[in-house]
Amino acid sequence: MLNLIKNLKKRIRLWPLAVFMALALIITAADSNLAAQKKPWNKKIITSTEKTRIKFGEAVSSTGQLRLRVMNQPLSQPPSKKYSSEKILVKFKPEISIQSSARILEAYQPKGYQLIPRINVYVVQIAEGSSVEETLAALNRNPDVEFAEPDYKLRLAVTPNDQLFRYQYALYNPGGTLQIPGSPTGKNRADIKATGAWDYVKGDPNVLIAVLDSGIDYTHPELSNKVISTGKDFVNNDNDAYDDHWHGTHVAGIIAAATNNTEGIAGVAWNCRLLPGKIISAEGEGDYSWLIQALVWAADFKSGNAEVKVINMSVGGDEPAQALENALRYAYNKGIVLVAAVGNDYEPRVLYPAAYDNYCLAVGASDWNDTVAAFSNYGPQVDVAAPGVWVLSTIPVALTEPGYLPYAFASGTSMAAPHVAGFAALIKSAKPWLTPDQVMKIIKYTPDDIGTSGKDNYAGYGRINTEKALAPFKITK
Amino acid sequence: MKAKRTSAKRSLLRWVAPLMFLLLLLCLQNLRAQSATGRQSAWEFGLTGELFNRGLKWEEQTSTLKATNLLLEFRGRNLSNFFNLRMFAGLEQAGLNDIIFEQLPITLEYQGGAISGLIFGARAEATFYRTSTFSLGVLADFTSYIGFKKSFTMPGFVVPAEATAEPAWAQASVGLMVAYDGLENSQPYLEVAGSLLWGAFKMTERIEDLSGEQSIDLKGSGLLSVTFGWNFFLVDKITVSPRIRVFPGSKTAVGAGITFFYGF
Repeated sequence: MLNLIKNLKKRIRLWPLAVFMALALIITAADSNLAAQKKPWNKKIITSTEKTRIKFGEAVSSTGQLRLRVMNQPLSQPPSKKYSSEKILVKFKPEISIQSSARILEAYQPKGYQLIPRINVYVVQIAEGSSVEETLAALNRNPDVEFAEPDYKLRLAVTPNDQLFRYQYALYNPGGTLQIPGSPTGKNRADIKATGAWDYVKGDPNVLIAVLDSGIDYTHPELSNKVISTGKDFVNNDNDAYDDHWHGTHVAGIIAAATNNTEGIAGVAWNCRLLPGKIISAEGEGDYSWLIQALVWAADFKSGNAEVKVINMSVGGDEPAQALENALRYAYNKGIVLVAAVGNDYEPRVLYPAAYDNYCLAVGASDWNDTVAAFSNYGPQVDVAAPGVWVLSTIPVALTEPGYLPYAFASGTSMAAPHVAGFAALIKSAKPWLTPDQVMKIIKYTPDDIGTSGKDNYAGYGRINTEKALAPFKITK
Repeated sequence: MKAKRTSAKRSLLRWVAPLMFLLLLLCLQNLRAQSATGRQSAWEFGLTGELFNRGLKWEEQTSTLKATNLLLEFRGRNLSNFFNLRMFAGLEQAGLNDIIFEQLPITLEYQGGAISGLIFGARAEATFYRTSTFSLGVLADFTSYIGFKKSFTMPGFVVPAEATAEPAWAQASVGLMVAYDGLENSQPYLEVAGSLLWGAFKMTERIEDLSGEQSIDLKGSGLLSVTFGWNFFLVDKITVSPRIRVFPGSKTAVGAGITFFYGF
């Protein structure tokens, strides 16, 4: 691993990186000034995101060739039972001889058995037609048996084999030095616990997540099989929601990039599919009317058995609007979970539509230490936080410079919201009968509390925890 | 599932009633042939301690009901020289671990152990044939358990969260019994019965203002039970009756109990 890092450092050319960082800072400062100007009569929406982004290719390789060693991690399918239905483990009391043990085992008519030496535990294949529970109960009543127990299943928390999964601290944070820009030190498991959740649910392809944004690059290798149609472009009034900006593609990849396909990144809702609705222009702006039309269109969309169950809006405007609230209510009443970003101005105001508390989950951004991002807007409408700093995801192939991979790190509440949208899609996949209100409450009541104890205006109830919501909760004494 | 269970209960009752009537007629005929030295009838109070396991099926899964009972009994023995009637009521600790409630907003897996509840029921036995050493009869019994609501705190949520469990089950048995009357102060007996168990386990979940409820139907696995017991008539008024009960098709369904009767 050390040699690997040293090799990487040799290949990084520092001066292009420094120039880019400087440019990025300048752009960021300019963006902040623009955002500060109020336009009360012209209700515009902006992408609620990314202070800076760095091309993934620059961060790891100057030649664009990914020279990282591929570590194919085995996929562990969640076991259907906790233990084997054919084998048990039995230990006899020390005073019982091997011959006597064999005689006792034979009485239960096993299909076979073998002794593990040194610890004198028998692996017993139970009799034909018997159940593990029955055999264990009978053996545990035998006074010569020290213990008899199930042969429990081993599993890894499901880890996808995507090549770039290791850079996605949001999904799995191993702690220590993270492989993201700046190589910060991360807090162990300050992530959304996706690997634990995937043990139980990976998503339903008939659950669609509508991404109302700048469009999606549906030719991207990680998205081509995940986008159900070319969608609808409300900016140019056609049926091609191709992304000519990059923001929507980045959001889409976080939600549902093709997962466990040995390349690229993993998406939160890895079996679910995407529906693009273009409401943001190539310049990064959009009108409320486009968002309103897109909400109604997405709520009504149906393709075979596939229906929109979640809408992600990593966009925001400064002003409330009755028509926007009406459109949100329409989608909400059709059983759709609405997720929106709170905004990136570090101001005590949540942008719209996130501020419509009754209908939307308002998502703030946290980082690899479970600290709320400095840029994340705050207010009582903030419901939860999700990782939104240096999040790796897909970018349009056409906008990727030659020699670079079509992935980039980006920061913003725009990157946090799609983690929650993917989470909502997993819940709807597992329990399709739940209403949007119930899904929102599950998401709000199961996070890990970060920052100030209890609900606060910065992280809401806390940083989302997908495993707590999706894994069975054990009731104990 | 409910329709099948109701249908099974109706079938059980439909042929029990006419069978009991027919055997009553036979018993009355047989009584006339008996000698004047018939056994004396008695009314008795009893105290029973009992442990039993019974396999359960639910939603294509299996688990085990583990119960501990403490019962007060009231028995009429040898009524009209052929009829025993027992009524009982008491407390039961019923354990129903490993049941998973997937329809709740947050899926719950019950590992909370035994839940206390009330248990009550009745049992009737009728002898229809008797020789100097053996007596042959029929039996029918019904038992019902109603668990008390038991609440469990669900830790780890950012808001208060609680689950409440309410199990209940019922069991009905009919069968034949044979007793050996050749001993002076005791009477071993053997019973073979068909036994149907059904029930429901209701779980309610409340997480702040998010709530859900699910009831899972339970069904006993194994129908045929065999009980071996022995009545010991210690003195005139005291009888001790230990017994064990097994379900031959299942290695986990087994029970044992002992009853102390005091007659008056």
